[in-house]
Amino acid sequence: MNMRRITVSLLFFLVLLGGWEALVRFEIIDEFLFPAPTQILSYLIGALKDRSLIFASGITLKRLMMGYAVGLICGLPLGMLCARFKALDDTLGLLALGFQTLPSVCWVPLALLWFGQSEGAMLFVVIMGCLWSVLLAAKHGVEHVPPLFHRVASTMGSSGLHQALFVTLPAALPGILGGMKQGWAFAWRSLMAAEIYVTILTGFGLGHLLHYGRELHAMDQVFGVMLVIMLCGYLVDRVVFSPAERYLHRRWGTAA
Amino acid sequence: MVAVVESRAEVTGTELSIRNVTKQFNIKGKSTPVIKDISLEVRAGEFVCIVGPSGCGKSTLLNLVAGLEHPEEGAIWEAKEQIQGPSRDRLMMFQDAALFPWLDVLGNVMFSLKLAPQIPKEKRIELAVRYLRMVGLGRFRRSFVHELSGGMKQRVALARALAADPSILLMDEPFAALDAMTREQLYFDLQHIWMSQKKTVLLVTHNIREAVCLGDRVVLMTGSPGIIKDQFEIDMPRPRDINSVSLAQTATNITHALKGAPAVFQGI
Ligand SMILES: Nc1ncnc2c1ncn2[C@@H]1O[C@H](COP(=O)(O)OP(=O)(O)OP(=O)(O)O)[C@@H](O)[C@H]1O
Ligand SMILES: [Mg+2]
Repeated sequence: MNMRRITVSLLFFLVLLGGWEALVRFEIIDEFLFPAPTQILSYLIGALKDRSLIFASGITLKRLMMGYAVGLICGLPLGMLCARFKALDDTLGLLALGFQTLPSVCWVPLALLWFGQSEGAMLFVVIMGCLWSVLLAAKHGVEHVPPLFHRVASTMGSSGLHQALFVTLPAALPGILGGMKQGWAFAWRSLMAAEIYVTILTGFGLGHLLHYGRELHAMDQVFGVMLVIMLCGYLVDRVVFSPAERYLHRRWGTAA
Repeated sequence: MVAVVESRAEVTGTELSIRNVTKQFNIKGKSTPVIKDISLEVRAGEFVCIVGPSGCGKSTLLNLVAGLEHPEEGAIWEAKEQIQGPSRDRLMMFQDAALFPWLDVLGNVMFSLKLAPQIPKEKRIELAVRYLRMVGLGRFRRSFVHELSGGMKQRVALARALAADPSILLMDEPFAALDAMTREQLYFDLQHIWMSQKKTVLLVTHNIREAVCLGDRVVLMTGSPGIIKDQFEIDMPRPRDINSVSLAQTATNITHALKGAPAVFQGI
């Protein structure tokens, strides 16, 4: 980013926050419903000091990582197999297509009935939220590998598992990465839905903080936690997915 | 210098034997023969060039030998074994270089080397670098594939194919995308490699001089459906110079011999 664009972004947020603060200070908007940025900041500082925010973030991220990992470990190979075997595509692939259209919060009632108010329910919702889109992305990634790559590899003596691991997989990487990114976004959304709806005692996540903020009418907490959730999503994108995408673009020569 | 080959049914030391092969494709919903009843014997260590107009089935024939396609009728034998599918014994170079973008240039050459069990591990890098140097790309070993020009990519593909040391090398217009200078250098290099390794080569080209320069034999195909029209032994000492008068004369002789079938040489 060049200086000019940084300045524009900076200015935008300064004006936004400044205007917001002023509107609350001059009591044009109700501070009870719409706390000022400084109030949200003081909540965040307090929650960081008493560790409640750090704790909640840790618990949320742990659940997210577990569900996402299961989604990847099952979704990527299954997707690749769907691309390879038509029978699997016509069965599991179709199922995935259906489930993918289901908003992940729809899994919550079922999870509650099956697993009760437990970590299992959380995990289930996260897995269902991300598995299908990861699976479908892996499938499409493999389907878009140029057939010539397979022919070239075959004639060099590569076949079976070797070809799947050293040709199909890397060739499908751009598509697979897109699927992983989408899967991450879905996992994140479904976990928030689960935490807001499923009250459990084994761990107090960000979603719960948000939920109790509402119950207690602590709007500064609601806004503060929303900000943290936003920041987490943004950071993962910046730290994990963007560099990976940039790397692939450079390798494939598809960078803009 | 040019001799029309009569029957080659009983050649000793036959490495590759294509017997009455017919291959059909579904074209516009109709099963159409693209290659019809082709028979061809290739001796071990022979360099055979296949020439013919566009669409006459040259690539299809090579694909069949590579085992990437299967004939509807007839069979292809490598030594005493019928070809059922692809194998590293019969390595094919395509019209498109088809390098892997997730590997750098050296990695692409190494890909085929890693699949060749006869080449010891510690010699692989050395070999890969040697072949890259040979095609004039020693300095580009760490480059990304998309950073190379079309001709450079094809040279990497050539290095990748030669380094793997297959017993039969199948080349589908490998030089078509190269500039004349590089091409002539590669004719020279390929002849030297061929003379030292005596590989069996099947090469498809549009360029009759190229065929005469490289081949022990030039096979002429005509199209729809593809058949072998004629064959010529090229009995000239190697290394041959593509610009030499005698080679040009031979090429012209073949062209003259083909006057009866002008369609074959349209566009050459
Ligand atoms: N997979 C396929 N499906 C249907 N038709 C095919 C297929 N592959 C080749 N053909 C047809 O077979 C014929 C021969 O094709 P082939 O690629 O072998 O020609 P060629 O002699 O290599 O031509 P060129 O010199 O242009 O490379 C063409 O008419 C082509 O349309
Ligand atoms: Mg062709």
